[in-house]
Amino acid sequence: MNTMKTVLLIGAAMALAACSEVPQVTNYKAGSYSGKPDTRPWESATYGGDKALWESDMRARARKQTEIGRMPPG
Amino acid sequence: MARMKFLCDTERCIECNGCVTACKNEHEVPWGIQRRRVVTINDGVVGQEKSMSVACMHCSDAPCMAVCPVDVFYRTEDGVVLHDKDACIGCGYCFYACPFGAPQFPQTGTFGQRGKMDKCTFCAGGPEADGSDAEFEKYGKNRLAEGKLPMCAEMCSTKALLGGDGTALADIFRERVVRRGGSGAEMIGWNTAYGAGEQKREQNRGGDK
Repeated sequence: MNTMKTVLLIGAAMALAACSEVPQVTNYKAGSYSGKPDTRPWESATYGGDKALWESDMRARARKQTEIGRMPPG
Repeated sequence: MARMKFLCDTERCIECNGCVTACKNEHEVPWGIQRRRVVTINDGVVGQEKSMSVACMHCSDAPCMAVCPVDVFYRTEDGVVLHDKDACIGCGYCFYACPFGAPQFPQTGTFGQRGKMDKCTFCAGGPEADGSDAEFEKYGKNRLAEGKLPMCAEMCSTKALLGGDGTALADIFRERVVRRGGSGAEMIGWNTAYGAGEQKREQNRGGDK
């Protein structure tokens, strides 16, 4: 009888152990870049660190993509 | 300066694939890798056919960056999403995460195993010395460091594909929309950018059916 009680108690303990509440949501941590550092485009030999010049060149180049305004309105 | 962006005007794209060819040639992209491609919907349906050139969109909140288990992605100050190929393990998570199908994997092994990820760099190279052979070998040309815009956009014959500073592109696109007769909410809506534009208006006027 005692053996039966022990088995039942252990069985109940094991069954109830499965009912514990485990958090289901993982907390993700934002990773940080693990690769090699890169230089910025204005640090190239062409611009030698002149960010303002690079930016103005890029803006001018972008504006060349539109044909509007190239010809006077006829 | 704002962020570097691509914008494809579907009212202008004629599916010539010039952007695809320009990209392949400029960076000597190997067989099987498509850094850029042209997608056409309603192909052959008169008046409803729309083509759009698609590549990495250099997302502000890039899903590829979020899922990469080895954190090889970085975003430059001008908003270009790049990655370090030396640290890439070719797992392919970024491919599943990207809504544009931008990440590409070379089939280098005998059994088609995935190589290191390759994608559009906005012609900004990668984390190697600017203009070096190593940079060209791994990432292609670094046109941004030379003060040039991406080759695909600069080569576009109809100027459907625009690339560069987001503010400048928005100005160009706004001018186009105004010329097309857009105003108010139409100036910024989805329909203006990707549909219900000139072709639709032609239809409404009783033009080509």
